[in-house]
Amino acid sequence: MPIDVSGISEIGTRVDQVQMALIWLMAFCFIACNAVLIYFMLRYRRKSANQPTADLRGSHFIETVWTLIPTIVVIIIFFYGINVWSDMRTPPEDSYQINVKARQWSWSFEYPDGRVEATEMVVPVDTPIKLNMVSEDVLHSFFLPHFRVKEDVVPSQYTYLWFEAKKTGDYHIFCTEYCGKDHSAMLGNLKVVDEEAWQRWLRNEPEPGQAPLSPEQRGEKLWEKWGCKGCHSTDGSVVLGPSFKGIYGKEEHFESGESLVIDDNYIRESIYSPQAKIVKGFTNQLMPSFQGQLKEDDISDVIAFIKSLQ
Amino acid sequence: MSHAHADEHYLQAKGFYNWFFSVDHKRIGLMYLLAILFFFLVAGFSAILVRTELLFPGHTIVDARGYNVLFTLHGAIMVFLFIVPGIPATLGNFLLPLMIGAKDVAFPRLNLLSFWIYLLGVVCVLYALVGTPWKDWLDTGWTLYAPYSVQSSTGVIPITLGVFILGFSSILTGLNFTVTIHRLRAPGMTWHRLPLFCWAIYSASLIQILATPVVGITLLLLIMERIFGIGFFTPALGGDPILFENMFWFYSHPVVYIMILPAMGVVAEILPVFSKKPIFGYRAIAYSSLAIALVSFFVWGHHLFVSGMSYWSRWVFSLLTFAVAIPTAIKVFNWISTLYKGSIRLDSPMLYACAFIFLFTIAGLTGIPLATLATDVHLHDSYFVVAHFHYTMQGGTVIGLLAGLHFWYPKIFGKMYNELASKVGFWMLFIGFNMTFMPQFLLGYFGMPRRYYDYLQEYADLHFMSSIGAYLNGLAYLFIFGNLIYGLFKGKAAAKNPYESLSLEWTVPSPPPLTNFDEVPTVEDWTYGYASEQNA
Ligand code: HEC
Ligand SMILES: [Cu+2]
Ligand SMILES: [Cu+2]
Repeated sequence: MPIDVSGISEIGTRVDQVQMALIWLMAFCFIACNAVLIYFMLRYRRKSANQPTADLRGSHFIETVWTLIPTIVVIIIFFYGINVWSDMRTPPEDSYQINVKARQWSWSFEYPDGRVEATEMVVPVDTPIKLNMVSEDVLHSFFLPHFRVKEDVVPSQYTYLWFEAKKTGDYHIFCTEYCGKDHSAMLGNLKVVDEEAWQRWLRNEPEPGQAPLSPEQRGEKLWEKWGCKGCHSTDGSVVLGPSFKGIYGKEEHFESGESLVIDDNYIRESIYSPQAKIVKGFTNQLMPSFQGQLKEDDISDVIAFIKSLQ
Repeated sequence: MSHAHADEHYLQAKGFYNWFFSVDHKRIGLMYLLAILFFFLVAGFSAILVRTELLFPGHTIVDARGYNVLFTLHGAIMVFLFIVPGIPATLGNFLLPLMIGAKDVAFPRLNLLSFWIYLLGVVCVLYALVGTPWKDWLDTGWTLYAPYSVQSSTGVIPITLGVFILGFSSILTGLNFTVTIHRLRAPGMTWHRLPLFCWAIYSASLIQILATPVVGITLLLLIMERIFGIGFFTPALGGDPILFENMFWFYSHPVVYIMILPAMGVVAEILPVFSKKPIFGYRAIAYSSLAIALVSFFVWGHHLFVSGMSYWSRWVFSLLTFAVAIPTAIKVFNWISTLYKGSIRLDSPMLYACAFIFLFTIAGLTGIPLATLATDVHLHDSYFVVAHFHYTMQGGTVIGLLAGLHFWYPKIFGKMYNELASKVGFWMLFIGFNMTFMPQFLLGYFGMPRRYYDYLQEYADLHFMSSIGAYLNGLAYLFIFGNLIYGLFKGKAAAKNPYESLSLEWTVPSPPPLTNFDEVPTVEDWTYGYASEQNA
């Protein structure tokens, strides 16, 4: 749970300093007001019917004092907060830029080299990262609780957010703007890696000591990462779409009445333009297109994966 | 129609016709009370279901969509059918004319019309929420954010229509009260003798008149977009979703003060009576109500602090939001000072009033990190916000309503409830409420987003605690209302003025006669001259 985030990022640490100051201030005001309230309630409790009471109707002096004090206090807090927030909203010029796309109910991340990732965003440590964000459907909000930053993700309008991680590790990504049915499942993972691992990741190399993945294995990873898993099983059971088990080379029947034998081209078409041919009996749930998200290389990995499921 | 006898009291008339077509402000107030308390219980029950789903991570009683429907149901009914009409339509209707020495509101028939319009709005809202097959129940949240609300296949049109209609009811009530306070004050009831409850109702009425039309327009645009495909809010049609947020909160922020100002007014009435002391800083309290009403129109942008709004608009809205803190703090200081050197009875109305101050300081103070940009970015749309506004709405408005109900109960019904039982209910509520929402401040601070059907294991303990608190909270309400209903049938007859108040509504019999005052009273003095020792 992101409780103590000091050291994870400079901005987050500074936000928590403001927050701590405010917590002390709130605690002080709360205790001061209510201690007086409760003291009065007990001290002046009616003990006899004719307990005398004072005719105090107010005082200009006191009213002025307790108007001025809160005014001064809130102005100080305002500028204190603005100071940190200004830096939070000003990404450094040399930030590494990633494009974030939100859709119901998943995140995708497009890197400068054209590579697209889903759900997990890998970034290097000690590097300012600027996210340029846009939504493909409704409002979403990109939230990194460990970094104390968030910004809404809006359709047809680019918003941005930046952060710089000082510690490697895995951190939550939450969607914090209600976006329909699976809003609470719209989670992601931010993976902060050191420079060496980052370079490896950029070149698509496996972790040291691990054999490179076979196309089938890569395909399986893609199947998990892009949420195909949520609709397509590998054991023959129907989730929201047809299962992948044993479909390669089989004859498929469509709503239009046509049929064909499942081959590479058909799978490619199914991923890029799923509505071109609708499998018979699957009209309730629409499959989203993965055009622009899965690249040609990825497609052949997926095909290899599907082929392997005989 | 029976001719009003001078000594016939307003409760005597029986039968549907005598109530549903009555233009008497007391009967209308009571009908409103019945209606809104019913919806309070319905919305409260859906909150219990929401908290039950959240007892444990993952599926507990409903699926994701079911959960979204439940929190929409809770929010929409609480806001539109309960808390917006809230205190003004009930206690305001009943007491305002009595307090200023009038026989009724300025436009009694308009008042009845407001009630009928309210009922019509209720029908539309309920149709949208629960009137269709389950798969079409509204799931947009009460905020109806575009473009989700434009795409949603659920009852967006009926609910917007319903809220649009309810808006008229609200505007007409506000108008009626404003004119009543301007025109119908008894001789001698100058503005500076006006009870603070009336000042509060007056300030809330101004907001009702000025802000409500904006939400009407917004919702009309939403309907047009859905029916005719005119692009106002959907980018695909050339619209702007942020425009919806701006318009929506231009109404919905000021509305927060329609809800809370009257509760503050109730508290300002109760404190002096039970302390036997003049209210401290009468003018400061009265004018701060107006100040809050004014400032409330300029702070809506704090709901858009992470929406993509420009740097400088966030800057300005943060500063303006802090401005609300000042009149609010002034009120709290003056209320507390009223108790100083008083002679305090801690009967249940007073307990509720003091609890209001206690809980409201939490509500107000937790607003500070939400107004501060650096910290709000993290807390925005998290459980911290949920806790904060429940402290204002439940800890503030509902506790204020209960304070008022317990205080004026003998006047309204001519009966007394069981005092011991009401104290037991009070403590159940106080503990249950804090147990529900204290953990939510922590959840929010630890990053838990709101409107989540499912959550990570690490948040489970705090969610569990909050849900248990919610059960106690719910039980407390059943107990409290049970006691109040029991008192109607079995309670002792109430005296005319059991708490020795100096306010005009206590000079008439309990329950008040249909015509309120036999002859128009003349006000000689300030309402709050309670002190036993007179200053020179
Ligand atoms: C929201 C659920 C959903 C997701 C997510 C989804 N699909 Fe589909 N998919 C469907 C449905 C429904 C069909 C059948 C209707 C159709 O042909 O469009 C389908 C059909 C297919 C077919 C044709 C299968 C056949 O038996 O003819 C392939 C291949 C396919 N999807 C691959 C994928 C891949 C690869 C992914 C992930 C990158 C994916 N799908 C993600 C719902 C989904
Ligand atoms: Cu979301
Ligand atoms: Cu607001």
